[in-house]
Amino acid sequence: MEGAVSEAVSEATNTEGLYYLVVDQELKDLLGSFVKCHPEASKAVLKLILKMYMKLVQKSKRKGKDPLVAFQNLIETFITGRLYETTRDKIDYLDFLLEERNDKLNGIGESTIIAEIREIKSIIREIRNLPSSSATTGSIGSAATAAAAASSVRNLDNFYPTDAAQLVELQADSTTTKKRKNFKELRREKSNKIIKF
Amino acid sequence: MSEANSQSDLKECTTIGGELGTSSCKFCCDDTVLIFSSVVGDALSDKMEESWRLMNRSKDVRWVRNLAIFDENRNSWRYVGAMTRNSDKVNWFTDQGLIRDYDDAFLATKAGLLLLALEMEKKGRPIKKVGLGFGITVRHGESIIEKFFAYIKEKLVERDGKKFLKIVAKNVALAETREIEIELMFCVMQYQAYGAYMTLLFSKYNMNIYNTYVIDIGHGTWIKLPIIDNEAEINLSDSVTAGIHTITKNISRIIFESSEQKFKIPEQRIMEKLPFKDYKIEVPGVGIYDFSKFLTHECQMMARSIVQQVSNDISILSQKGHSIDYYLIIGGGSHLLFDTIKSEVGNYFGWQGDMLEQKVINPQTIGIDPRYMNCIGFMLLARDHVAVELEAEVDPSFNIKEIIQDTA
Repeated sequence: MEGAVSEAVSEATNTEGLYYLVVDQELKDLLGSFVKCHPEASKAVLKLILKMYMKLVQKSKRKGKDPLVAFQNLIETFITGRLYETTRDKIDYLDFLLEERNDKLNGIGESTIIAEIREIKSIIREIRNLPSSSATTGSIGSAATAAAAASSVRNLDNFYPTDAAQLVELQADSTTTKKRKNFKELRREKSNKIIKF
Repeated sequence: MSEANSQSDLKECTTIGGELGTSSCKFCCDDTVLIFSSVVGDALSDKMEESWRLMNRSKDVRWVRNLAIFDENRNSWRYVGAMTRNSDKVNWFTDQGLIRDYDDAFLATKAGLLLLALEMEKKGRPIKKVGLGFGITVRHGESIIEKFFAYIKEKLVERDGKKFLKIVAKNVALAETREIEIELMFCVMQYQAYGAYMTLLFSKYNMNIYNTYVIDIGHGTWIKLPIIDNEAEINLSDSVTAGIHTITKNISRIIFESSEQKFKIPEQRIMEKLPFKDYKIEVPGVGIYDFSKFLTHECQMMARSIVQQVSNDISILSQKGHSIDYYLIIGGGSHLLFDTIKSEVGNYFGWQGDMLEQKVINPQTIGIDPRYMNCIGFMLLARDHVAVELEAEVDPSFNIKEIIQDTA
């Protein structure tokens, strides 16, 4: 499985050109832990994680946040099985798969891939239709269904994303979540330039 | 020297922080900060000095304002700081953040130690043994500053395996001479802006490590120093030749051009007005000139140029997987540029309100003057070194009560 990590790492670096990010020791350790905890994890899953990480890095770069903290949160989400907790998560994931399939399709034209895309598209359509159908059923008139309809309308934003897929929200203040090293531990390891008279 | 002796010596050691800046030298000991101009000049002849003393009407007879240090190399007195107002020939021994003249920089170091020794003597805490924390400029690198301290080492008097610095000084206004000897024990060095980080580390950060980007805006230069995991990111640090002087020089030029090249207002006159937020200046024959509009413009231009360089560094750091927790703006020019830099940093990251207030630190909001933050930090650096050597807990507290300046 360790080999799978390396492969995924090198492949991701080739396509994204972010070598320094993926060979980061801390990231490697995180991926290693993930593989150990989830031996069923395939190369494809690792690729997905890496791609998501890179998107996170770009987003973090823009916002000045710590990508590793965000990535740890993402891993946490995977481990606790809340990957598809919200419909938006599912849409994002499907969008991602679609994007990946589209890439593969270029110049190949395999019927199985086309079939897969159709399938994914139909799932997305199904999910996107969900709120409007709820709203329709809510029109019968009961207070409960009216509330459900109102709730669905409030959730409409989730079902019609207009911008790029959003990944796990970065922590508002990464400084509070990160375990800080203490100066007293570090100062013994790293000495300053000293002149003794 | 035996280990036991060395330990007991360290216990008696007074820690002093110091830096030789382009415009002023700053030293800090305990609750006292000392500041004097980074200038040394020729002394008057004995007869001229006597005449000057008779004619001197100033009531300010403090040592810091009327100081001469004896230069063994030249076998003559040299005026230091404000006293150089009476010198024919003056020498600003640091230029663009570099020590240009070891002899005069050594005299300034002596002046700093002497003035603090006199002050602490008055407070009943005489200085006998000193451990120095010293700020070095980014452009120097360690080797150059090592040469400076090797130069100082040569000048020390050795007795019983201990090294003493002999200082002969004169208060020219009082015609009073003092001679003192201080035992120099060690000097621990770090990059200049690192001192400010140390001050934060010992106060706001509560000894926890936060990645900090320090911007130190001085008189002639501004310094950028990212500190990642407690270490200066030296590849990204730099000392840029632009500071308050650049702003005042440009304003002076604008006034000169506006007056059809008739009147040249010295930059110094503009600079003197800035701390008092007095942005009006009289141009003879023309009237009162309000330069606030130009000041705002110049500050904005400089702040943008600073933030542009900072944002480039942030991208590079980010690519390495690092992020900055806090941005710290210090130095004599910070009062002019702080708001603009803060706003530009906020625009870059999309921070607003509390987030921006927290991320971009104004030392004044935590009760520290941005001009002295570095030298306080170097004192703490030296104090920490003593604690490490003694395997004791370091005292992180500091409380500056007195600031002594050579200018009135």
